Amino acid sequence: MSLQGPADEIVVTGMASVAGPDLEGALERLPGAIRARAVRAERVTQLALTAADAALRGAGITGRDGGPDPRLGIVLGTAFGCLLTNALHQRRLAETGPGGVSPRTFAATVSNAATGEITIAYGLGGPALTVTAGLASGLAAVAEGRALMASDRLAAVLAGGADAWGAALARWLGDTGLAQAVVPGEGAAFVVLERRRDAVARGARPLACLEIAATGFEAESRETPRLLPDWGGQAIEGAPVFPGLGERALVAALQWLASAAGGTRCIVRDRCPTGQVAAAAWRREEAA
Amino acid sequence: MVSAYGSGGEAFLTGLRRGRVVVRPIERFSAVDLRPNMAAEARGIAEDDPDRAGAFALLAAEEALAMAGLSSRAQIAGLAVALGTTLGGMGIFEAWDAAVQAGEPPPGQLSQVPYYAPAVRLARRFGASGPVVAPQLACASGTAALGLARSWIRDGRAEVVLAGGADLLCRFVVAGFNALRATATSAHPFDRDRQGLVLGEGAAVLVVEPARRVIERGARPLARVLGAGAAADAVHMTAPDREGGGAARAMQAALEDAGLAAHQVDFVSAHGTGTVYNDAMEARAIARVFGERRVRVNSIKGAIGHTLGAAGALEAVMCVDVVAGGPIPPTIGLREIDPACEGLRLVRELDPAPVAYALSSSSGFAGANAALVIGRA
Repeated sequence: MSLQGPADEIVVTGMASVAGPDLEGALERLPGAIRARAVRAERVTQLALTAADAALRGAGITGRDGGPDPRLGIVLGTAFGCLLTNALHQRRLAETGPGGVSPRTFAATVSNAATGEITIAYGLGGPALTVTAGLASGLAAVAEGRALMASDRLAAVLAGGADAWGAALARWLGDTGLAQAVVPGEGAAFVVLERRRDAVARGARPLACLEIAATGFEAESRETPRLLPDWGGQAIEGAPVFPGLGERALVAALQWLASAAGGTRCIVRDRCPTGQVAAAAWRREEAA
Repeated sequence: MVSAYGSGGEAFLTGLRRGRVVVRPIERFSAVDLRPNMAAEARGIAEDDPDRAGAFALLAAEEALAMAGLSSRAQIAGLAVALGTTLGGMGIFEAWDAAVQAGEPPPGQLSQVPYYAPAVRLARRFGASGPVVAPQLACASGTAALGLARSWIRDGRAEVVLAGGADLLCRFVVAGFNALRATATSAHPFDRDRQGLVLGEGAAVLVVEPARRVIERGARPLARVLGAGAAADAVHMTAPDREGGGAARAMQAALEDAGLAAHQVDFVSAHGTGTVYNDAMEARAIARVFGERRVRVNSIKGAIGHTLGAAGALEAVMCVDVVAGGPIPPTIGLREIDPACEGLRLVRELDPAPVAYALSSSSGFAGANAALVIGRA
């Protein structure tokens, strides 16, 4: 296989997304031991696990073979993380008092629970970051994942976003005024990022190049500011066109990459009414 | 910064040096049915602010910017915010849930994204234009925030970063940790009879910027953020890796990032929660990284409690002070060292010996680990 770009270029070797309505089928496709963990987990973790599994398998990274691999990292972006679990814990506490709360539920009231489950399932022993950047969290995670790949310590980073929808969240969004900024939906999306030379060396096929990713903050603007230079190509706005939350813009990017339309490059942007903005430029890989 | 010692870095450092324990019965909210109901509360600070963790962070950021001599928006152009938290938005969430259940209107200051609220509060107050992120690595969040800040500055993604952590005490948090049977009425890190952690609250924010900027404006850097690392245990969701694998990998990654060997480090600020498994794990991890060499180690959680996502940031402030010439505070609560931690050289009294390089280690739920190397300016 020949190089189609600079050896240090960051390429995508696996990508997958799972939308809420497809979750049940996606859980069925998980390997047995991982499925057993997933069915006990919270919904956001289920979404994240199923998308991570498909992305990693697409990249030819099939899971743990011995101890945790310090050369594999993960960055998960989530806008609301474990909010549904927090709502459950809070309700039990209010209704039954401290004696009625579940230690297992409380342990999942941290937004890095989904990240932790993925590291255990696939033996990712490198950096495991969970970031919240409002509705731009998925793209922010991609930006941080790309930055992590600057270190030669890492062979690959799984980067993406996940958020789950539920009654407590819908009510929260309504009460905060954030409902106007979203199309109701949920899901997870991940990409596997590697240096081109490493991907080629192990025989993996680069699917796309992640040319650049950036995040910023603009509290006053009503329009998504340009974080990236105008490189041309298809422009995709995540908000509020695509259903979902922190993962929505990344889902949009993956849909474009998986399609045949729209040229060779796209720039995906997203903006949260809180002020967080993020953008990423992707280039399709030419067929070998 | 804000801690149970009160508001301000001086109160924090003075309290630690004196070894003052500020663990008391919880007063700010009803705790009669909470067992245990002891914690290190930051009393008299932002008592009625629904975003209490954000209020802590704001106080800390104002103090840090003043100390850095950054007083105008022009001086902080290109500002970014990395503010770690575990459950910092839960005060807002509790108030909202109570209103919903009572059929009352939601609180007026309801923020849009609960975990993100404290970071956004800083971003808006100081006019950030760079990345604004809440890293969520449970109790390693504050340390991870400083790692992000180092990365952003190194890569030119930000000119100046407000980096740290903030968390608060509320019924949600205390009842949860009690249900896990992780809490005790007093904390005794690395002690043979330790029975659990004591919760605390607070915030610490550090101004991180390129050295050239500091020198150009004639200011004095307090310390250098030389390296950062993170690693997953990838073993268990709530229990730490008994072998300390993830914590050791995070420390090694931070040392490699700093370009230092383990033998060059003079002091380790341990996570040291006072739980049976964490402390034994950490002793293994430190032994894996430092080998036979008995580097000085402390934990401050016996004095100010475990401040969750803020803890790593508070400990980073202590490390900055130590490399700047301050003494290493003692490990409050340690009486007789646990045989499982026997190899550690725990600081038991104020230690004035100079420290050129300090390493701070943090760990959290879901197998999260992060470490930081801080060097003399």
